[in-house]
Parts: sequence; structure tokens; C-alpha cells
Amino acid sequence: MLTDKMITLENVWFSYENEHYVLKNISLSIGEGVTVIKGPNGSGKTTLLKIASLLLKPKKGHVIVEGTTFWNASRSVREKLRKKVVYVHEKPYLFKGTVYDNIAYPLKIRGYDLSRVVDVAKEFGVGKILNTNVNELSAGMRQLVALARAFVFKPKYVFLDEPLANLDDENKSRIIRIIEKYAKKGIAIVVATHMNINFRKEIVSKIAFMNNGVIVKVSKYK
Amino acid sequence: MEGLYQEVLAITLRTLWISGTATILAISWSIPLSLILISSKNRISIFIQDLFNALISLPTVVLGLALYLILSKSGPLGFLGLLYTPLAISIGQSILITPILVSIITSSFQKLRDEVWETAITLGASEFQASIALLREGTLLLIRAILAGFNRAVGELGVALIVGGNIKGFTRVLTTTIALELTKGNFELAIYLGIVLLTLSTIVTVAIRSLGIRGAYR
Repeated sequence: MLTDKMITLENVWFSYENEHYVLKNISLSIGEGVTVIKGPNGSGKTTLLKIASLLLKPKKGHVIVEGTTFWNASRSVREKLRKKVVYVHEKPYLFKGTVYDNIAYPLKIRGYDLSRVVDVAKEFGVGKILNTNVNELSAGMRQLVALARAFVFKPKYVFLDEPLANLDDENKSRIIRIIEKYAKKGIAIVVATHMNINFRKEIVSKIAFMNNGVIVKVSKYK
Repeated sequence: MEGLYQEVLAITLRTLWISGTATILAISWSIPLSLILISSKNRISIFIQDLFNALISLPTVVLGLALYLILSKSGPLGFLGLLYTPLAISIGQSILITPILVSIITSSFQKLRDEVWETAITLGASEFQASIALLREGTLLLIRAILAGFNRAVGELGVALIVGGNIKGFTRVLTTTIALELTKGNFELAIYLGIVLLTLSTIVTVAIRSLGIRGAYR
């Protein structure tokens, strides 16, 4: 059932340049709770995430965001809808400057108050390095900063590509707890991973298994 | 001897002024054009990029001749009275270095574009804000492109000679003076000016290299 709090992919096909299709006839709806997309490397998880997070335009099919067919909408409507969505790359890019500058960026471009930056940084375990230049950070710390930056502006849809890939066990547990906390608040979170992540069952809405550009199975929990 | 130094200084300052103006003119359209080409990954933008790559090797005398025909009294823009003025040289040099700027900016920004653009857009930036972020992240790359363009403008002869006319105290620049003094057999001044030109070029090249090294380690 379509609701106004949902991103829906309808019969989506995608190929890079003129290569073969890396996504074939994907249909998936993303709503509240955590949606896990599991599959081996090269199965199309990242491409699926980029399409669902409105960064890539499908070659065929539709992406419907809260009732609006995204790629048929005007530029202003697209920009408005995009502001509700965030995608975090497996190896995130951090802008030049400090950790603070990066976490504050989404708030600044929206004209929001910056007071949340410190609290969110603490929550993600980067509160003590707010004035550190991002060039000095390890891969794990960069990941935490990128995650803090993604959650700081209270998005409605969060797409995380291998969010635990660069983290040690302590920070993995921290991020899982944070994802669960935000999912309970009503944010739709999509996690693409090749690993087994032990989320609490009540917050997982579905697990989609991908292989070779196709969703082979969907297990629904809600 | 003092007169010689003063003449060399005046010619050098005029050269910097004319080529600097040319570089600023070229920047004003090359950066927006490059951003448009980078942001639209379609066949037309790829064709335009290929075209600019090819135009890098455009002979300066050919460009000078074309501009002469356009700016001469009987040409379509002859009424502007620009021929044999410093501005004519600046315009010619700005056209000459546009392919260099566009090619360097588009090629060096391509990888950065994927990362910065995607990050800015997904964090809620408008396309304009994403462009600003891209320029900020690529400042060093941008400066390298600008310096390379300036270097080319300072060192060219064909445009300056044909549309500038090499008028003493008005449109005479380093390269045209060297060419003139050589034909007159005045090797002393030609060598002085050659050293000045080489020094300018070396300073800019070293600056480009050091920026490249800083960029690589950022």
C-alpha cells in the first residue's frame, strides 16, 4: 500500500553509460523503520541506494516520493523532496575544514540553527574532535563524522551504504544503537550491507536480498 | 642604461596588465562553462569538451588573423575601434586560453565532481550551492588552471603582434618586443626581455607545480 511517508521504486532498471543493466526490474517500498538490503559485492546495492536516495535517475521505471513521481517533477519540487533524503557513501567525502564545519554544513545550507552540532557530534562519538581538520582523521572517524552529518538535520529518509565497514566493534555497536534510536523516532533508514547486522527485530521492517541486480527475496517483519 | 631598465619595466608591467586582463576575461566565462559541462554528462557536453581539447593547439597567428579580419575597419566589429589597442590583445589572448582553462578545469574536476557534487546534493544543497562547494573544494585545481592559462597568454606572440600592432608605449609587450629587437639586431634588449619572460614563466610554473604537490597531499 502506498502512503505519503514512503519512497517507492516501481519496475526500476538502471545501467551506467551503455553497459548492461546493473538493476533489473526492481520494485521496493521504503517506509518507517529499518530496511536492510543484503547482498554480495557487485549485486547492485549501492546503485539501488543511489536511485532510492534520488541521486541517480533510473533508465526505466519510476521513483515515487510521498506520492510524487520524482523525475517527472519540476526542479524546485525535486530540490524540496531531496532535502528530506540523505545518502551516506561507504567511503564518504568530507569537505575541507574541520569536523564541526562538516557536521554544520547541512544546517548552514538550510539556514537552520547550528546549536545541534555539538550534541549530535557527541552522540556519534566525535564530540572531542570538533576542531580537528578532517585530513587528520582515520577512515573510521571519517565514517562517524559522515554519519553525524547525515543525521544532524533530522532527515526523513536515510540511506546508509555499508555503514559499519570502517568501524571497530565499539563504534559498530554505537552506530547500531543510534540507527535503532532514530528508526524508533519514525525515520526511514535503509542499510545496504554484505554483513550480518544484529538490529533489534522490532525496528526492522524488511530485509531485501539482492543478487546480480535483482531482488531475489523480501522478508517482511512489519 | 637607466633608460633601458625603465623600458624593460614598462614593457613587463604592460605585459602583465594585458595578459592579466585576458586571464580575468577568460575566467569569467570558462568557469561557468566548465561547471555546466561537468554537471551535464551528455553527448553534447562530451563533444564540447573534445572540441576545447582540440582547440588548445590552435596556432596563435590563425587566431590573430581571424581577429584582425573581425576587428579591422571593414570587419563586422570594426566600428568598435579596438584594433591595435591593448584591449584587442587581451580579448585575443582570452579566446586563446579559454580552451586551456576549460580543458584543465573539466578534466581535473571530473573525479572531484562525483564526490563533492553527490555529497552536497544529498546533504540538501541546491545545484547552485553544490557548484559553490565544488569550486571551494577545487580551489587549488582552479588556481593551477588559471596560472597555466596566464602562462600561455604571457608567452604568445601571434595575437599580440597581429591585433596589437606592436605600438611603442601602447601595445608593445614582451614577446613582440623580443621579436622586433631581434630583427633590428639589438640583442642586448632582446636577451634582457627574454630573461624577464623566462623568469615570469618559471615563477608561474613553479607555482603550478607546488600547488599540484599540495593538492596531491591534501
